[in-house]
Amino acid sequence: MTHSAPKKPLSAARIFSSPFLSLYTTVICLIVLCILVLWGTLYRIDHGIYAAKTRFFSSWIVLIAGIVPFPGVLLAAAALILNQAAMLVFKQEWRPAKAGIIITHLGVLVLLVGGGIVSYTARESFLALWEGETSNESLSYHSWDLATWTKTKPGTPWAMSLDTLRTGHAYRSALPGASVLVEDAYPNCVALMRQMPLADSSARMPMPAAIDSIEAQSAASDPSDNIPGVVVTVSAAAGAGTRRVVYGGASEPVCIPCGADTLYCAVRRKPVPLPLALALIKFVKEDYAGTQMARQYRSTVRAKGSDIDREAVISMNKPFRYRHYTFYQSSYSQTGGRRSSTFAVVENRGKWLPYVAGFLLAAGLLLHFCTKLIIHIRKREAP
Amino acid sequence: MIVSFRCAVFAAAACAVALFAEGASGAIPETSYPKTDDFASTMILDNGRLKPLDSYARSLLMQFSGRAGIHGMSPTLWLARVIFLPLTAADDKVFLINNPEVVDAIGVLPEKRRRYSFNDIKRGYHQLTGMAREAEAKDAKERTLFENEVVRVSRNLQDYLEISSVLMFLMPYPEFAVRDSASRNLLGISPAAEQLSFYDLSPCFDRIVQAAAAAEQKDKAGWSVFDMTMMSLSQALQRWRQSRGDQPFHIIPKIVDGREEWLCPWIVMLDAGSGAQARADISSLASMRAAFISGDAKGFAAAVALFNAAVRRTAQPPSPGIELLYNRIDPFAKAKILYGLAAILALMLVTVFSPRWARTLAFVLICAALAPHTFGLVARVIILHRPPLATIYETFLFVAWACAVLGLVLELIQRKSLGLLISSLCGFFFLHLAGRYNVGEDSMGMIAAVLNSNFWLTTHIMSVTLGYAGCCCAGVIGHVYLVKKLFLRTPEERLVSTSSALYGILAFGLVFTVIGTMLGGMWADQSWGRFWGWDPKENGALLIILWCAVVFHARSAGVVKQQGMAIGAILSLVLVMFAWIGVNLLGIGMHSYGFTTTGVTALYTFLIFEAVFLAAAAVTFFMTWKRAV
Repeated sequence: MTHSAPKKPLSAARIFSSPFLSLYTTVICLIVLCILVLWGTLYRIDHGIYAAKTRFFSSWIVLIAGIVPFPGVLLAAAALILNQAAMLVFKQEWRPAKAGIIITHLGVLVLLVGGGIVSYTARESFLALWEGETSNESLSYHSWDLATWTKTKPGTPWAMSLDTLRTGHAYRSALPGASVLVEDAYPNCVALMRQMPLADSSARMPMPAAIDSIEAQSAASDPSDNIPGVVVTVSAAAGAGTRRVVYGGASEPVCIPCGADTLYCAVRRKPVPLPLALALIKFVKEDYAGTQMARQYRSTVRAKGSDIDREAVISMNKPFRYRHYTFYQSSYSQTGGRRSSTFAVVENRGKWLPYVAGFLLAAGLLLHFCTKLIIHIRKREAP
Repeated sequence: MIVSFRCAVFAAAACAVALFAEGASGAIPETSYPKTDDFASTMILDNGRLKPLDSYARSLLMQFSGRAGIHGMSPTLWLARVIFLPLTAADDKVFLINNPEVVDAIGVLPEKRRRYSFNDIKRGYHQLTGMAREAEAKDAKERTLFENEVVRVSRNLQDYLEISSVLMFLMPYPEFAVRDSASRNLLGISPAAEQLSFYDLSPCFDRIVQAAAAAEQKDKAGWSVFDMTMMSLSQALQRWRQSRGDQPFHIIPKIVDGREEWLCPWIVMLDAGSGAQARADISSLASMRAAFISGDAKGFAAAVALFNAAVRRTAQPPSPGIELLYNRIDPFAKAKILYGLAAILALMLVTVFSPRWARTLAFVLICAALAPHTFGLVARVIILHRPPLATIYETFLFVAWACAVLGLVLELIQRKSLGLLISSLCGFFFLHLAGRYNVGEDSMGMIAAVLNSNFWLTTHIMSVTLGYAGCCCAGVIGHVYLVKKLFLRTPEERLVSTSSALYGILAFGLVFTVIGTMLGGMWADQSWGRFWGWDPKENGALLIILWCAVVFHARSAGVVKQQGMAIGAILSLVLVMFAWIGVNLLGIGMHSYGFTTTGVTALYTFLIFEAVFLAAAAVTFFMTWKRAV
């Protein structure tokens, strides 16, 4: 994989790109990436994927021991992109014998740039449906809302993102004249029921009436495991405020009577609107004969949108795609004869980029390998 | 199918009563058992797959003893003894206990070969199960090696008890003793039979119940021996029947609601009244047992043939031929021996001497090894209906094969014996490693739903493992280069072919690792909804790619030369081992179906070897350089 340097006149662009016009830079970037990938993988064992991503894979700078800066994956990848682009433009010989190398490096560029685009634009959420249930919105893994709605207008909740809530501030609610004062907000907490702490995280679904208070917890290693909660005081236009604990893990909303109406309050995962409504017709778990081990999970759904109205089957390795959205079979549950299926929903406008990059990389490497092999064999056969 | 834990407990308990009886020993001489060839081809539904009993017996033996055989007898004969003659089989030393502390804790005398019979262990059985209960209450990750071994041995004993009790209903049992003549007359039993089996009494069930009901009407003080016998038999039969439930050994097919189901004999026995076929199946099993224990070869063969014919009338199981052949040949063990012999020759060829006959012999040995190796892989494809790449065990088999082929191709191009060394050494080493991963479980078991895709298994895993094979071969060449250059002081001119082979094969490894990783990203996009998730397995493959790219770019930049390439290739081999074996040991990430605790020792041994080798190479290089200066 040689890059011989043809002599070209100096230009402003060439001078600007000169630090990147070296294979030494390529080697350094690759070694830095090697170190980061290995370090991040080992770091994940104790700290979880989110911490590893934040510290190594989605960072520009990694601080060693909190002081010494080291390039993060983003910085190393950005340097590699500039290096590859500069090498391709100014240093690469553009002739047929080098076609494999050129295509490969183009593939690397598309992969790195595409990876960046996808990581910044793709949105992930999930949709859990019981058989017979329909929904046109999925739920966020990480974002939560404080939602309020009234008994008289149950379908029109007033929602505020928990990320933007500030303690000590009063916000409007779905009930005209009633305000919600946020006293405390916890990104991750457990509910305390009559002074009985719920130590077991699997038992974090208490009845709302039983929740006495909430206790802050350190953030979970996977942010989707965080269950937030807020303490609010709801004040109607006339009358004293009512203090309530609103917990994200509660199965029912908090009811606050406000005059003739009732205000409902809940901390819930942020809904993500979908361009179609998905109804789960049937979920089937196929087991290996004579066992309870799953061979396949299969959900039959009906997709209904402005330009679609058809049945589709979503199973392992066979997602359902619609516009920029893809629905994947993620998990399932069975309770009392009822079955529900959970789909991972990904909105990704650049989903084709890795495929293009993969094709370019594979084709380029194969072409280069075969070219080299043929040259080698011809050299050996030459007298 | 009715699945009941109670039944398993009951059956195991029933068997245990018999097996734990003091002085229990085989009444039948060890010799003159009927041939079990036809019995070996009887089909059984086990672990989600229809397989011949021969395979079932092998997987059980592998689970219990870590070996697919037992002192001279065929696995099927051992299984036949376990189910037809459990008291005799209780002396077979099939339970592997690796940890001497466990042996000590249950009060068993240590055996040199670490394998114990049921009769050896039974005195410490209650201690063992007690310790296992305590260990099982703990989280699996928090258990000590001792506790893990206790749990493993205890579960093996439970499984053994269940299997040895699958035909308990055919065996005479003290509960079913009929001694008075009135009872015998009523039940139509010959005077010779003292103890009867559940099967013997089942046709008389209604008569016994009626007689017992009549006895119940009487005053208990006025019960005759006949009344007492009927009451006792009725209660015992009821108790056995109520323990209805599932057991292992699903060998009898039945069509239920248009679907084929495979049932265990006990379930069919309880349903025997519902159909002639069920009665015929149980009758065949009874004849089989009677013929086996009396050493009647013809009778046994006839009963097995009758049973198998009935099975094929009801269901359409696959032909067991190829699997029986696969079991009989044991292709990977044969291939390993041949690779090993070739490796000894090839090592001498590369380092000491290179006569033509030795080169030819090594080439022939490798071709001879490739024959069973290829057969084994093809047989697995035919048997499992999927590429043999779904488990880490299978990837070792495939990489061994790929390395052997790659080495032969190199040998055909270069004819310098280097290809022979790669073929034989990698073939032997990876087949040996595969054997280490094939202990204690069925190597043809079920695969996770996410892996259940022949397209992605074929494309992604095959590409990645070809990439692994390329890097491994390059690593071997790297060792050869350094040994020749630094330790044997071979001049650089005579190492040109070695370094060009290293370059080409490392490039092969890079190309296929890249293709495989890209395909893996696409598979992840299809099943998990993202192309890349920084999963340890993905990172492992990325590390190999990045490192190979470092090596090639460093060479292009002139940072390293041949020697540096050789060291780079060795480090790529280290990274392959990390990505292939090490990542599975981490126990984190989405590739949970590959998690394992096997291979820690192998990995550390390999790492220490490489560290020592590279350190020795560095010292030698420094001393040579110092002398030259």
